[in-house]
Amino acid sequence: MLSISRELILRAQDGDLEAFKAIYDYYSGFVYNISIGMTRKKEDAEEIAQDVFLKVYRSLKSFEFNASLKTWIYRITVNTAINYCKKKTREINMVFPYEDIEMLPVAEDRGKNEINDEYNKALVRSFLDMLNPDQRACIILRNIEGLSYQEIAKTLNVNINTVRTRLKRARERIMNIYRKRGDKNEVRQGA
Amino acid sequence: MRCDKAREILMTDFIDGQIDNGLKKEVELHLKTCQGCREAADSMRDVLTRPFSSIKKEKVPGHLWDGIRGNIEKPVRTVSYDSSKAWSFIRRIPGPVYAVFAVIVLIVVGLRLNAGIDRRNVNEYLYSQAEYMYSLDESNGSFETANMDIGTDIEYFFL
Repeated sequence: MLSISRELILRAQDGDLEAFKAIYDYYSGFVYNISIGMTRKKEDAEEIAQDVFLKVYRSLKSFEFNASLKTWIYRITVNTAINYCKKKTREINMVFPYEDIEMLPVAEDRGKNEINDEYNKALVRSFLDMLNPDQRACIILRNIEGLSYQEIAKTLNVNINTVRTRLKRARERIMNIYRKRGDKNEVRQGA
Repeated sequence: MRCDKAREILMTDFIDGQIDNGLKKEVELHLKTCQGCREAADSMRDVLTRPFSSIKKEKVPGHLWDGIRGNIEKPVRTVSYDSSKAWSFIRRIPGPVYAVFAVIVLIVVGLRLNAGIDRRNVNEYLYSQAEYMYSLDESNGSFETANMDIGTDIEYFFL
């Protein structure tokens, strides 16, 4: 399917489950991948994705075409995922391991392409773990989903400069920790 | 362009390709003349952009839709007033509590009734006295009529 037509949305608003399934098919990839990026656990991602689509289904009647359906669903997804992460953090009284250098994969593991991919995946995962949920959402939307600053601003319902600031702070943190890890490796090698 | 400004732009708009052409040319011009910022830009690309480019999207599990559809089709529970449930707490109250409650009710009712009887007696007494006083007034308060036995409670008390 190329895009979601207005007629399809209207049918879904009338409770047509087939039309809603078409909307689900179109957006489930985004919703699931954002959720998995935010939580890193498949079970949590499934819970968030299910919650998002139930919210979409139940509030679709109130959708008035003022914004695009894409922005609307993206916003519900990111808000649900951010709230889930914040709640989870509170529940287990966990402080994100922002400064845990040991979490970063070791650079010497880099070699063949497959290993390289695994290394990058592990590196990205550890980067995301260092960020708070708001910063993480920005990085995922930009670096993984490829949204423009304008689209991220609309999705998060914030000013474009706020997006810029969140990205900058998130990346400064990543760079600082990456640098520290480099220094530590050098110390290890020198010893 | 100063280095701190250049690095701020490098870290966001520049590496994200969100920069406008005029500013991009300024940053590129700065990079040509500043080795430190050139190295910083390379390092940013290595750490902040490259690892993300090899991230593959996860496939959505098939059972996800089943769960969503199941929840959608589940009948919505309406909150209706069920009198049997509303009063079910009564069944959970232990027997002795009922007994104590009944005794309290009896005492209260008894006291109320007793108070009613007393009030009735007082009213009747006052009424008879008033009647007597009125009769005295009608007979112009003469000694003879004042000593007449007209059968009121107060006469029985004093005579």
